[in-house]
Amino acid sequence: MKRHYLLALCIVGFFACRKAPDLGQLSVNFVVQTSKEPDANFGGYKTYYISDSIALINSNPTDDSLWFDNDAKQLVEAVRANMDARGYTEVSSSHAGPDLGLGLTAIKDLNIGVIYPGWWWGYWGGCYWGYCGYPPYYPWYGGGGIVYSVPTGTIVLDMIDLKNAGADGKLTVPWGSVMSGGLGYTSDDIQLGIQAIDQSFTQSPYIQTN
Amino acid sequence: MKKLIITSILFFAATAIFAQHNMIGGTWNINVPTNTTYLTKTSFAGGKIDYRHFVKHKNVSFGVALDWASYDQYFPSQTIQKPDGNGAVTSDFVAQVYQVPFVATTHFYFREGKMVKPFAGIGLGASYMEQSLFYNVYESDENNWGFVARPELGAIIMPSGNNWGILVGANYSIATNKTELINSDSFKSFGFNLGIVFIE
Repeated sequence: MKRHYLLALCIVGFFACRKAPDLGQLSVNFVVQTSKEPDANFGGYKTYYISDSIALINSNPTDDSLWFDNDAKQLVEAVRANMDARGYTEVSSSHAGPDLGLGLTAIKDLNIGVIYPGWWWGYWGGCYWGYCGYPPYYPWYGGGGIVYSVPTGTIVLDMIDLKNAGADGKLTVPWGSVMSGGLGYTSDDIQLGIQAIDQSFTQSPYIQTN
Repeated sequence: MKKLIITSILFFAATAIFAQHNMIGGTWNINVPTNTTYLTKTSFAGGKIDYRHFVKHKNVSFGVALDWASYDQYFPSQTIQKPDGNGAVTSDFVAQVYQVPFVATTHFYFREGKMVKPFAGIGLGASYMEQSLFYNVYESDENNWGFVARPELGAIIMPSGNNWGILVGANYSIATNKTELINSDSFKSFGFNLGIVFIE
């Protein structure tokens, strides 16, 4: 009888393993996560500015290198095209008083945590947007913030409210997109990045001037 | 999770060896999820260890059962909006659910002493669930416990003179495990099982 129990247990043990999922069907498209501040009024903004360069974040916290080759410009152009299509007007300089500042960041070689929506998370530090003194990775844990884990290969697009900057210089982020994928791994990545930027706006129809 | 399975197997084996009129068996389980807004693909990767103690001169048994079922399904790219409208995620993904219910059971038998012994029963207990989402090169996990209720019908087919038989059964499982992705607070499925049992 004990042999029977043993046989039964062996049969059961054969099936006991958790099945490994078939991931072969997964696409290489970026995962696009967007979030907006609940009270954001996108109709109140008219102008925007975006730099031609993209900030690169990697495992060296003192490395503030910029990405400004033709690939970077294609990603920036995708943001421009979407903003223009939504009725916003680009200004030529960040010192020309734009209502919105748009910043693209590419994450390489590290996983970090950011919080949306809330204050601009200050990954560039320094005096970007004309506001100085904020350390890199400035955290804001205020009400309703969403914590994202941002892995390697991610593009981050921040929309920063410059029109309503407070006297304390804190910059709010009414909208942001975190696009996670394989940036830097294949020659198709830039096209995938452009598609991800387009998708960010597609799933955010509330971004419109009045 | 493996500790739970191993502990349960040892419990079943020990209980069966020391009891007088018992059944222990293993079955292959096929499960059809019925949460129609999420997983719909049938799982063929499942099993059960079923122990029953028969009450003398009654057509009733009490026992315990440990099941497991592994579901996975590919979902084409789609945009999921947060309920408050302030966020959205777009991706294709593979969803996997690994469910392990552990239940106390009672069964009633309709034709005691016959070769084919139909039964009806119910299992009540706990359901452990691991839910994973795979997208691009990333994975997110959600593990939780719930309560499970599982009415079942079936039959034990036992050739005369043997101490082994075939068990066939069907059940409907309602578990209270939550799935945050679809804002669901239950996981339901139809299950079919076929296996071998030993009685002494």
